[in-house]
Amino acid sequence: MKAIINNIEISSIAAWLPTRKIDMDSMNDMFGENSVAETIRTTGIKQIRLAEPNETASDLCYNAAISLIEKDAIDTSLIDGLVFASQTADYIVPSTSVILQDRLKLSRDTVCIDIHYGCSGYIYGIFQAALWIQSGACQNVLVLAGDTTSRLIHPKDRSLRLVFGECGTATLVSRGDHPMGFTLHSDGSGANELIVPAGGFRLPISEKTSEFIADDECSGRTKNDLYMDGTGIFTFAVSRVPRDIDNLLSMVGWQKDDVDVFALHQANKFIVDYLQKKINVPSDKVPVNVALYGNTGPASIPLLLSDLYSTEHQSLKKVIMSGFGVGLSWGSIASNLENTRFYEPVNK
Amino acid sequence: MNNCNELNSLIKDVSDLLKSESTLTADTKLSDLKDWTSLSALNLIAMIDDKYGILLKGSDFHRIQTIHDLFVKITCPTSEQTESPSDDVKQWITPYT
Repeated sequence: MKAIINNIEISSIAAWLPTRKIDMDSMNDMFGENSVAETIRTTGIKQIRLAEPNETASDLCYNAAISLIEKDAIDTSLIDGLVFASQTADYIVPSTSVILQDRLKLSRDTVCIDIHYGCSGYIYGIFQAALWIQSGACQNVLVLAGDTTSRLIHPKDRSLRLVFGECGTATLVSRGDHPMGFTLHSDGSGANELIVPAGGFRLPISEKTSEFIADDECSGRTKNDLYMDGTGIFTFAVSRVPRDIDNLLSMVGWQKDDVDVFALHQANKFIVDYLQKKINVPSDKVPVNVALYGNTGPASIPLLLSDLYSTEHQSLKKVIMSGFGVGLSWGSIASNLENTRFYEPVNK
Repeated sequence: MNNCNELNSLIKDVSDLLKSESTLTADTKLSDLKDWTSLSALNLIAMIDDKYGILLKGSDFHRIQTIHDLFVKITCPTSEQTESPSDDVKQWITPYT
C-alpha cells in the first residue's frame, strides 16, 4: 500500500517514561557477565525503563496524553478521534481505546480504535488518523502508542530482556498545510519470527504450552511468552526497510540528500546503524537513542523525536519515519515536521 | 581466485569477526565456538552481506553448521531448497488439536 494524503500535520508529540530504571548489568548474575557485556556492546542498550507492576501500556499512554493536552492547552472537546497502537491492551475485550476515551474525558462522539501492532504500530496509527481527517470524519486525532513488552517476556529470556523497554507516547494529528506520504506492507509468512505462540484462540494456554524450553543453560521461554528470531528479524529489516524508504522517496519526489532526519524504529543500535549504511546516508541523519530506553516497540519513533527535538533545534522540513516488526509488517511516512511541537519526555 | 583461496579467505574473515582464539578450519562448527551466540550470528550475517553481497536468512543457520557449509551457501546461494517450517513452528501457526 502506498498513498499520499494531503493537508495533514503532526501537531505535537509527547512521551511519558516510567520511573523504574533497570541497568542491563544488573542482570549479570542471571545471564553471565560476558554475555551481558557483549549484548550491551552490540545493542547499545545500557538501561531500560519498566512500568510498575500495576501500570499498563494504557496508563503510560494516558499520562503522555495528559501531558500533551496540558502543554498544548488544547480544548479536549476538539479531539474527535483516538487510536491506541499497542500489543499489550488492558483487556481481551473491550478495546482499550474506548476506555481511554472515557479516562481522558473526550466526547462520546469520539471514534476509537485499537491497532494491534508492535514496532510498526506508530506508522499504522498515524495513517489511520490521517485517513479519518482526510475523509472529514475527524478534526484532531490522538495517536497513543506504547507497550509493556516485559509482560510478554519470560524472565529467563536473555535476548529479549536485555533489549525491550517501556514507554507511553501521545501524538496529535490535525489538518495542516502539507502532504504526508505513506507506505505499508505485510508478510504473514514471517508470523512465527516474532510471536507469542500460546494464549490466543489458536493455541490456548495449557500445561503443555507452559513447559520451559531452554535455548541454552542461561536462556529460554515457554510458548506463553514472546519469541523472537533475532537473526530472522535482522534479515527482514535489512532486506525490506531500505527498499521501502527508497520507494517512498520516489513517490513523494524527495532526494535522499534533502531529507533532514530518518527516524527509524529503535530496535537496537546494531540494526539502526546497519540500516543507515544500507540506506546510504550520513550517520548524523539517522539518530539512535536506545542507550537509556531500549526498544520501546510502537513508542520508539515518537520517543526518539520528542527526546531529540524538544531541545535540539534543526530543520525538520523533510522527515522519514519507518517502523518494522511483528506481522511481519513494515511501513514508512514522509512528513514535514517543521511546525510540530516536541515536548521533552516526562521523567527523562 | 580459486575455491581454496576463497575458502581460506572466508575462514580468515570469520576468525577475525569472532576474534577466535583457536585456529579455525573449514570443518569448524560455528556452534562449537567459544561464546557463539545469536549476536555472533547477527554479526556474521552483516559481515557476509557487506563482503560477499549475500543476505543470509535466520533459517539458513538451521543448515549452516560449519564454515564449509557457509562457503557453499555463499558460492552457490540457490543450490538449496527452502526449508519447510519445523514441527515446532507448524504447531504455532496451524490449528491447535
